[in-house]
Amino acid sequence: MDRREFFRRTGGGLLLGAPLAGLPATAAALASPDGATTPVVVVGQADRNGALSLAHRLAAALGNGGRPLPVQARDAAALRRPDQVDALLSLPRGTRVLGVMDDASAVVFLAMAASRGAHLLAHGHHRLATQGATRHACSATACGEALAWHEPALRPTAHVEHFYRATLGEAALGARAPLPAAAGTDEALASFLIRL
Amino acid sequence: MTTTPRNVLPKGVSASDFEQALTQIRAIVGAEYVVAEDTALAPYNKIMMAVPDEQHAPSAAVMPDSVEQIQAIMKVLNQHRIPVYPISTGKNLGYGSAAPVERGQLVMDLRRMNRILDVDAELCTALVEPGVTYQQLYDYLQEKKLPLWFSCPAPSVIAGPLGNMVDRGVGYTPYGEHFLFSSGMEVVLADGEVLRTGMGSMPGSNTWQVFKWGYGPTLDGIFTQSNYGIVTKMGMWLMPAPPDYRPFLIQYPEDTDITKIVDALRPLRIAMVIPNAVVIAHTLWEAPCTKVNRADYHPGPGAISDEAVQKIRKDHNLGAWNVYAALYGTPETNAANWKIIEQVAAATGGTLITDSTEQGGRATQYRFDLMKGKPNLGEFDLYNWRGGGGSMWFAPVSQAKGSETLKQMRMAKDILAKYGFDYVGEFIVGWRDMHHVIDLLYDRSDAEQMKKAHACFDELLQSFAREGYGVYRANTAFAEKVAATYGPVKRDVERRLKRALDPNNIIAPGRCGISI
Repeated sequence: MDRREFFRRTGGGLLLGAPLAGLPATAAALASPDGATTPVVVVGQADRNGALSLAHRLAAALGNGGRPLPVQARDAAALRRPDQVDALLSLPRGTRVLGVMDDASAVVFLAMAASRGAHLLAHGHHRLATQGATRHACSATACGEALAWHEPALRPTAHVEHFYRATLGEAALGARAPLPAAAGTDEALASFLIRL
Repeated sequence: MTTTPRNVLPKGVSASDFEQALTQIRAIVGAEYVVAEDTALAPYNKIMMAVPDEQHAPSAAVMPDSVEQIQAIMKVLNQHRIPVYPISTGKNLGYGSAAPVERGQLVMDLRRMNRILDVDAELCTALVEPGVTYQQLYDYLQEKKLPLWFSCPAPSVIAGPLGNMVDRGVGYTPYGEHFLFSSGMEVVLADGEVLRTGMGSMPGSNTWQVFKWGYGPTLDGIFTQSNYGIVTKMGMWLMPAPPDYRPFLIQYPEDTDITKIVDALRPLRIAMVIPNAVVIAHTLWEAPCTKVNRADYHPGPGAISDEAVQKIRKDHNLGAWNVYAALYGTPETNAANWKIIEQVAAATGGTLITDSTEQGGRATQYRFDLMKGKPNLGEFDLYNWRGGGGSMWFAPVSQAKGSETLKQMRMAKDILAKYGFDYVGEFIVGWRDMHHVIDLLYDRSDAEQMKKAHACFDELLQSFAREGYGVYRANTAFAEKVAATYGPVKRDVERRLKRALDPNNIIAPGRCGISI
């Protein structure tokens, strides 16, 4: 599936060259290969404010009936320990794991997940800023081409949430207002969505 | 089963032929061990190469579980002329990870072959399969309470000894030159024949893991950094845990100190007073692993300034150069050698540190662990330095002479700065050589930085080659260019060997620049 088709199916608001802000809030669902309800586990890096904040934002966006998904918070030391990562990956086959952590932890986590045969559905990089613009670059495997955009640091949009919901094949964001970004955060992060 | 048209195919192979081959391979290994859908293949995509994913995209991946399965697969691949890219654990990240050298190659992932076949506690040897990780071997030795150590590289928790040895990787114990301390390989050749090198060729021999030479030409070397066969077993020597282990760090304040450090330590290395590879890490190799945030010192674009680097040293008590080595022996021999270390540190103006918690913090601890072969992932913090997590290792070799070091450092620093990148480097002093490992860190989510990183690596490679400095190992994306720096005769011989051993050119054509 090319990038145009991917985003057409997530709502049609994002075409090549068009601003991401054009994504409608009531986009249509992308068909999920194994049904609409997929178990999702969110992992956030506890010792990175920006990571934990974004993990909670995503957990809220992916929650059911207004209830956010729980966030498994782990610090960097735990995310480098094979036994602890193994524990996070020891979930039923088909479970989606959405992680938000620093680049180093993400590389380790994805390497361990790959060794267990996990599928990589999407990944992103996020350069958060206390001032100016925050930059996001996300890529869905089904789409293949990375999508990058900037947004005001203090007024985050819901595009990252929208992106991951679309990748999960679920209805895009409803009218719920996005959670605020972490205050005073100036850091680079990685995110990913895998299927066990 | 999906019938979606495949968008990545091996070079010169039709979609129908490829599907037919996959059907045959599924019959060999089982359908669940052949993956071809995009999301299952995505983990095999390149991560640490500054080029578009498409250039190294695999067509499919197969996970055999035995030598017999590999032999059967090779028959199918020969029949259809399908190129295969074997990987063990696929975690040599900065040198290219699991991605095939050419688009469309079929990845042969050997991770299911992860058996520790033998550990001889008396002879201190092991025989392992490709999927065994260092962490797995470490856990095995701990569980069996065997007082044996091994040497491992920095990403040791997720990487494995066979793949590292085949790629001629290095580690940090006295057994750190890994290929040197290997003994015996089993190799599946392109035609499906199985070769055991050294004493392993002799029926009934029990010396495969203790005497690597055998009789006649020693063949092991041609199966390292090459594509002449698929290594399915490897013998390795283990080191008896020493009664006394004394790791140390010596910090030096100035960049120019590197010349006297190398000249002072070389004699100790050659005489094996210091038996392990001496790591001399620059400030910016230490800083990420000590949780320094680059943006606090250099928020803007471009390379970090010398002034900022000096401030980092001062704020975090880091040396311009940070020398890591260890003594291994009895308390008596180490006590005698320790006096030499103290004298050398004092004479060269270094500050000697032995307590890992006292000064260097985490960077010191992970180094001290690596020097006793304890796997860890401490060095991965390098990926956080720049943001965006991109990394390519440029690793030229030089003589272990002080005069070489400053020259190489200045060359590298100038070229890196031209493209806006920091000098993040370390020298590893072997017995008579040095590996100058430079981590080219870039933001892999930024297309502009990707282009610059690629161009920068290329200029590093060409500039160092003009000065006679070759790299000892290289990122997959630069295999062809690196091979070219070693001249035409060597390459011609490599091609002749390839024709003889793999006439259909199916094992990883292009790996290390070798192809027909």
